[in-house]
Amino acid sequence: MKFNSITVKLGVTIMVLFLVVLFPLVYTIDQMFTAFYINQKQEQLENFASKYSTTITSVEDVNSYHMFEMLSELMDTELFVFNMDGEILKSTGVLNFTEGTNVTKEIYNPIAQNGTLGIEYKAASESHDFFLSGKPIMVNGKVGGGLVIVSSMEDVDESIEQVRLWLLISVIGALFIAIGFTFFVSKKLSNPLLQMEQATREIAKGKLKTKLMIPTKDEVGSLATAITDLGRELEEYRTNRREFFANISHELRTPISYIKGYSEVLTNGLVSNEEERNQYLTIITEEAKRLTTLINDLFELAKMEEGKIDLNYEWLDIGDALNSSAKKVSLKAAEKKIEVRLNTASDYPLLYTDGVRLEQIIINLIENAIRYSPPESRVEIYTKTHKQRVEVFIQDFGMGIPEEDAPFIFERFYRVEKSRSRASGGTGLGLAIVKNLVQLLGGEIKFESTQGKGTLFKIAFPTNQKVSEDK
Amino acid sequence: MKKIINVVIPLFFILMGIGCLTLSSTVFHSHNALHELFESFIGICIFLAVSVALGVLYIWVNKKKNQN
Repeated sequence: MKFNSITVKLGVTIMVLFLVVLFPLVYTIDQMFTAFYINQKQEQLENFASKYSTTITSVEDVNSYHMFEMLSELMDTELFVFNMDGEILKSTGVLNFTEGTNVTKEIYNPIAQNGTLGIEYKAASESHDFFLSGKPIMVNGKVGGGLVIVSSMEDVDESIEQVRLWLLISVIGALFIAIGFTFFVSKKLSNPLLQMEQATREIAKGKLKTKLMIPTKDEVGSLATAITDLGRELEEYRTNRREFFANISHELRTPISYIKGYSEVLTNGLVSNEEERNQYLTIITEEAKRLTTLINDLFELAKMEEGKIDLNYEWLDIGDALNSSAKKVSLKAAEKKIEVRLNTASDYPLLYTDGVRLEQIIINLIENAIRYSPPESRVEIYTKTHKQRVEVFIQDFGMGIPEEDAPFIFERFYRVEKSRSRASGGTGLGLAIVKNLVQLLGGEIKFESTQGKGTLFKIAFPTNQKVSEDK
Repeated sequence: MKKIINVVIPLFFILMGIGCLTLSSTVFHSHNALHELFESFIGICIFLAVSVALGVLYIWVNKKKNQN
């Protein structure tokens, strides 16, 4: 087990917190027991002194003291009596309190003032402490002397030591239990983190399908889901990148091979007449144009995906944008004898957007509609206005999009009918660019299509300035 | 083997702890010491079991919540 692992750190933290609570608690319990034992002893001695002092009727007549020695032995204490001069008249002979000697002021004063004596006494000749408890002896309603009971604190100290020892053993027991449970708890708490650490390492090694099964809905569970999602997204990115490179190399290879082939024919003088030569030159020019368009589109898309495209927002009339777009595609429409019908609402609000980019979107969609429409058909463009947004519809009556292709039409290089699309000049990037641009302008794009009947593209933009900018 | 150690070591600590606590709570009982020992052991185990049961209940409730 590593000492700097999260399991050990968690365990140590829990144990430290446990000790922080336990040690003050143990100290408090120890203090309580010590005070309890000492108080018990003091009360016992005071009680005895109080009762015995009442049996003495004359301080000076030492023979009248009842069972003086016997009580001392029975109670395992020592006694002495002194008169109001402070002279000890009778003593069981304890410490230096012998008969004929005088008591100190510390002992004399409280009793002489008809109070109770209760002090701890340290004898130089003994290793343990003593407790002195005294009461005044009342003769004819006056203090005639004092009775002092001297008791060793050795037994109390021993009891306290015993309690301390077993309290310590209890603490060790509690610590053992805490260590045991902390072991389980820290393992349980750190286990998801260790799983995540291992999963991220697996992802770093390239095993992107690594899945974490942590069912909790807290921050740890959320992090695990984020790691799983990260792996999945990286996997998706890797697949997309692979497909992208495969597609791009294929897309670039086709025009380059045309250009290379026909230019070699021309260089080697393998043309029979001027007409054939011009035909080959036209092909080379067309393919060069296609190559330029493809590279421009790729560059545009890359900029959009990296968010490096600059947008110039302004208030504009969507009717102007639609008219201008329709004019620009009219030549292409005329080549296929396709009619572009423009029906716009008269009362739509102004849009706060980038006019150039909006026109790019509309032109792309109309060109797409023309590309996939049969000759001598039509493309319809119309708008609908709502309270907070404007919708633009572009409808063609061409081949439509098969249901199985529908989810992929906005992906790069995805073509519904590959050979035809390439022949008609499509790069396979148009709709991907349109989708990115619409999203950048804060709008959304949808489509409905019926195979063999045509496709309807719907783009919607917010009319609110703040919404447009925020999106 | 590692899994067994992961269970055996904490269990050993817990049993040692219960042993220490049982002895501590019995040591000042001079009469019928064996009976007191057994009673203390059961008492400590019940207190531990209640705490553990509360923890397990909390985990179970959380798990159920997550499943829903």
